[in-house]
Amino acid sequence: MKPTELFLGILTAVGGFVDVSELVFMSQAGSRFGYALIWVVVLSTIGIMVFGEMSGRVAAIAKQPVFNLMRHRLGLRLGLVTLIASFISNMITCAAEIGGVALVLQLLTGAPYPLMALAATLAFIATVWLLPFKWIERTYGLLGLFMLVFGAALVAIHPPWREIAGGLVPQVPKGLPTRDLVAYAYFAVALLSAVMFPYETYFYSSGAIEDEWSEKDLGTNRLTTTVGFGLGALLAIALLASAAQLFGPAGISPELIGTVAQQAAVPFGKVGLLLALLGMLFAIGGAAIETCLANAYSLGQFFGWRWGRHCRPEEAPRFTLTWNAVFAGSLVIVLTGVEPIQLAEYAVVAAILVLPLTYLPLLLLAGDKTYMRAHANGPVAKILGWGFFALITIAAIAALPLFLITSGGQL
Amino acid sequence: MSFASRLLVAALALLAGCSSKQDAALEAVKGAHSVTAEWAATERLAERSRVTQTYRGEIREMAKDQLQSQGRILRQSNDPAARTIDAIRADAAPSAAALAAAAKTLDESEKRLEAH
Repeated sequence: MKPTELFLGILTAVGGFVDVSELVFMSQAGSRFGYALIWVVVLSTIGIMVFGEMSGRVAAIAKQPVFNLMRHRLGLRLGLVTLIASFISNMITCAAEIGGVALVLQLLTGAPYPLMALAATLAFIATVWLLPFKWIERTYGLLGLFMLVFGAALVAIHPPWREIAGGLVPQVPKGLPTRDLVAYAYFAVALLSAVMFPYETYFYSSGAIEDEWSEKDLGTNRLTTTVGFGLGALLAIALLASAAQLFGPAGISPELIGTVAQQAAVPFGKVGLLLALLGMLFAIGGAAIETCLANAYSLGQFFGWRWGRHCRPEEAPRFTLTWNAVFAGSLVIVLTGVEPIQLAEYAVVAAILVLPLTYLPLLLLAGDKTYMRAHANGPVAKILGWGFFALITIAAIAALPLFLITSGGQL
Repeated sequence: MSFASRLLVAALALLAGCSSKQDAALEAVKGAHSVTAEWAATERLAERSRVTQTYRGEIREMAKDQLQSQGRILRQSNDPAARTIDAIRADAAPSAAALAAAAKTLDESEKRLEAH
């Protein structure tokens, strides 16, 4: 691959790393617990690097996207349960993203929220109809780089770097009452889920098939998942750290998505605010398209339909109908009036429940030498893969009780 | 449904029931406290011309909407914090200082409810 292509691929991964759930949870976690949850972001990022790399490698070598594996490795019954659960999770996530985009547009233009939700959905549908796959991903990913203003804003407010570095060490804050300790556990699980959203793997591996990856693309895969996701995680940490610095002392635990943009307005004024809102617009918009296409990919792969944006719509009619229907369904959810922040909270809980079933078949195939030959998981990938699988399984078991006890982190 | 599944559903229902009855007021006060503080921060930035007028106006409307639903919950539980919310909502364009004072009052309500 040409260096320019590789560079663009990495930048796209950086710009597309943050979505509405991360914006919400990073800001709330930072304002409530200071820097104490940074280690969870780092740990989750290593997790998404491990499974992202694995899914890209499996797509390049075995030519198998995630939901093909699901049916073959989990069997029809369990595969179907996973498909339904992930479809619901992705649909809620897509609705949260569309709602988030509508709110940002409302803050930029002053136009009514329902109108902006409709306009955003139509724009996304037009994007997917008109742009080739690579440019859908690239356009939103690169424009999402406006989000870098959050990194610059953190530097500009001169945060206590030593304390931020202290957040890299796994810890349970001392002296917290039980209620706050339970909330801390909930935020740890929510951050893990928000960073390791399963739709990212569905989309990434399906994208590798769309782009016809082969053995020669394994280096790109490794660099995109490590460097791209790693730099994206720095952006997420900047959101958390700025929230700890600016929101926590002011008693703010963002209930309004638009408040997050103030992190850039404090040091840079109106220009910072506009850059932040534009970054949020494209980063969340890209995620809306990814979640929608992830659902269409999942159904197409599970039921053996012809799928992919490389096909003309008439060549893959069920796939085309599905992604249009997912956008329409998500818009209907948004128009019922549920707050995007609330949708994002439901989305992370739904996603963590699906994670173990998503990654188990991937782990099994990536370690299978019959399919993967010399590119099967080595000892490091095996240890990391099974270690993270155990972690997300524990998180999945704990997620729902923690969500209910803390009322979605509100208590 | 197996015994384990029934046990799980019962435990979750119990958890949900407990949290909704005891903590609705606290959840509403916490939400109202944050929203008011967010609104105050916006007004403070607006006074220094660091945000656009459109942004300021929209945050104001969004905050009022959120406070309306939180105020409703607090009125149902006869919590005095409802009066603070009503007072902010009644003011067409409260200043940053007035909002910060209201946020402080709501913070005290939050601490009072947490202590119970």
